[in-house]
Amino acid sequence: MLHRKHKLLWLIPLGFIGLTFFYPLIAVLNLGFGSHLFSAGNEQGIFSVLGFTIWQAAISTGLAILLGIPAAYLFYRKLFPGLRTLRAIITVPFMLPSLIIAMAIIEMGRPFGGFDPVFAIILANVLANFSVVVRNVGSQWQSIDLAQEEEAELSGSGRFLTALVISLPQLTTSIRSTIAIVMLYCASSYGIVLSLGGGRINTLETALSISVLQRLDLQHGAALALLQICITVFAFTVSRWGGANPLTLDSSAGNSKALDKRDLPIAIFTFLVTALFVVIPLGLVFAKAFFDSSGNFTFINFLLLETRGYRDLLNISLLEAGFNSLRNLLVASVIALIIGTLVSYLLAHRTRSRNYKKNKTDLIGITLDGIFLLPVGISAVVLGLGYLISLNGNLAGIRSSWFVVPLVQSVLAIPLFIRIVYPTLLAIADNQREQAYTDGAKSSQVFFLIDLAIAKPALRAALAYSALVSLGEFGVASLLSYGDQTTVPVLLYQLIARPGNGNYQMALALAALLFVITTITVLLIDNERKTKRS
Amino acid sequence: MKRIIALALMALALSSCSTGVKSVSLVAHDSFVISDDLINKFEKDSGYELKIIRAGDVGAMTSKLVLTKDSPIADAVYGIDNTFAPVAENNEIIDGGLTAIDYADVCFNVDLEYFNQNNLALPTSWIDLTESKYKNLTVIENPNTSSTGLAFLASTYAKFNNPEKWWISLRDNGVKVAASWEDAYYTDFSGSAGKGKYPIVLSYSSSPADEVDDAGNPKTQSLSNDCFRQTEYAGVLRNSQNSAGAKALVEFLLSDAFQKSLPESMYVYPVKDVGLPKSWANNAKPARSFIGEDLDIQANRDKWLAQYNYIFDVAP
Repeated sequence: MLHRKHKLLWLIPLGFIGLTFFYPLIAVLNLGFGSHLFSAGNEQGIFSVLGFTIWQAAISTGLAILLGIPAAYLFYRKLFPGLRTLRAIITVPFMLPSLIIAMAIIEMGRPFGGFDPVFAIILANVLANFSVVVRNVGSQWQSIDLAQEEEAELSGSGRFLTALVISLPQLTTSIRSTIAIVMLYCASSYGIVLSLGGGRINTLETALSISVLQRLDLQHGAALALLQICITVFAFTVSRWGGANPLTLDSSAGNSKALDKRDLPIAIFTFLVTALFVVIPLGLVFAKAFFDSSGNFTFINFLLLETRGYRDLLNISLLEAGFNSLRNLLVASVIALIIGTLVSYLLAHRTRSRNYKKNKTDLIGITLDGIFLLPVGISAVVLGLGYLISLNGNLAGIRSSWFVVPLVQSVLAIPLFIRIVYPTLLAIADNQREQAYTDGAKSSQVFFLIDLAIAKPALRAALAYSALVSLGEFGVASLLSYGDQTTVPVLLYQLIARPGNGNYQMALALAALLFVITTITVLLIDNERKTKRS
Repeated sequence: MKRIIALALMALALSSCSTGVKSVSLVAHDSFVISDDLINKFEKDSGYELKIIRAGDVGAMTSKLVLTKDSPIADAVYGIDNTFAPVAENNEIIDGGLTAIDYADVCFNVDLEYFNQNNLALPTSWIDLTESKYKNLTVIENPNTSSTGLAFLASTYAKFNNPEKWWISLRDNGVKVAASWEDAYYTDFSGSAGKGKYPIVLSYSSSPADEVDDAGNPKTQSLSNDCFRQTEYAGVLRNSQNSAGAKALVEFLLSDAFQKSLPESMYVYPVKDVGLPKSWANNAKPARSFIGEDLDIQANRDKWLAQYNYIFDVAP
């Protein structure tokens, strides 16, 4: 009885994702596969783009892992004043609009006459994903008992050797899943490659956009999209191998020790890395916002935000775009809240009712989870085109309405939402729930009164992260938000793409504002969760 | 709670209701500029409310129109140029043909100050840019991502039967390739706002109008031989919801008022003889000679781009 009800409940999120994601996706692929795939001449292009996409993702991921693991140790295994703030600060880049990451790298490269585009893309990927490594690996590290490490140290092995021989082998699951998810992010970073590649460097995402939008070559586009789907499915499968749960944003308390003298080298290394890869580039964008193009300190850039740019470049003013973004953000987070909570609940229920251990699940569970994660790796261009093509005739009204952008953004936020809420729901102690059942509570009552109450901080965090996903989302919005429906990141891109006569200064000021909003949000989430837990 | 939902539903219902005035929508590329005065004039004269949709660059805009031709995203289109006109025509997205509105000449611009200071002779045509005295001085746009760059690629095919050799020597002469016209002109070109490192830029014959010193003397100049003429068209979209309004809109784009605004607002020449602003008459005349008009760019684009990409080693 209970199970049938749950199976029926699955219809809601599955129907939602089917209509909002799989239907437009299939519409695009269908159009592209009208004639035969890999027509002569395209083959080489496709494989060289695929090769470069994987190559740059691999290098970026390798760097992020090498730099992130020592930081994971310091930020999750050690205790020192200011730790929470530091953890929050390194999370900021992951939540920032990718265009601001690109601007940060542009600013960083300026004294050197501009970085080589490939180098710049790799740097930007590292900056954006550093915190993913630190959080994922760190939270796993935190859950390992300290005894073994202490024992090894007592028998005379140094910190480095201990980490290499004792800790890292226990972290392989989490490191592998992190590699997979970071590679996926690096392979699908549209905004970064678009603004740093300068049209000369292409990954699958930008090549897809060029072949479909510039050359109207749908066949080629569909082939690229299919490759992207394969990469995403592959990365997801690898990341779930051994029951790991990728994309941890939750930082529950664990086993940490106070910092001591022998941690000095690692502390210095980590602070240097954090300064070089996070604080300096983002600080540069923020600081530059207060200077005009000839280098004088001024607030004029912020005053420019009132205008529509040089020669009225922008469709609408920033204020109007800000209103659009805010409205999209509210709608997208509410949809993510409803669907995300439902999926998390159903997944948790499934795992629990089958008595799987925490984070372990079966093939169907993984598939269900994967269905909702797939949007993370699919090109925004594909999705956007899918909407353009599939919403015609009577549905054309939806296509041109503002609602379509937050709808797609919610699809992109849901995977993150599930990643935060599902583990929290799973972790709720069974005895509390059983007690409630014994007292005669219905399952809905248990869900609303116990599960939701306990998961409230996680829900709030998930909601805030969903809002940030919507606020920073660029690809879909750039394709589907017409005219007066433009959002803030699209405006930002238009300003960056047309530098000169104050436009770039305006972009800097806007980036500084978004940076402040994101940082405050991340700090608030963190603070909120700290107080709830203690 | 119920009251809030009811209020929200009411607000939604109200916002979706039309206000009674019929509207007409124009889809244009991102560089389209129209003043509020002209919008008001059109709305007053025609009785339609004007909605403007900017849909990316020319290529992206044309592709979107082809993909949505059964239920178009607007009633009329402005800004399809001669490089993309064949796409529009082959896919039958226009009702009643395209109407020329304005044109621009793709020419190289030079920073006069640099050439004076270095006692360097101005190139007479872009063909000279492969000479060693112009080494590392030129910035162009990537034809894969910029219509200006594509126009220039086409003009080399108009000038030479096999321009690949010329392109290889241009590459070896240290040409910089920027992604967009804005990047090339505002960031890399030394004669404009960005004060970049390159005194020769692929731009337009009209660009020097904006680069004069305080005394009104030109700081840049265009090389006005063998330029490429880009003509921009407007048209009524097939299956439009309001083709009468769309027709009125296209007529408005040909009206004296709009045509007169073109040089100052979009740096292009009006097709109608409505005169040019004073600074234009001196520094920003149309090109002396232009080539490539009879090329079928659409039919050759992929082949040319493949050759270009091979030379510059770009994966498409």
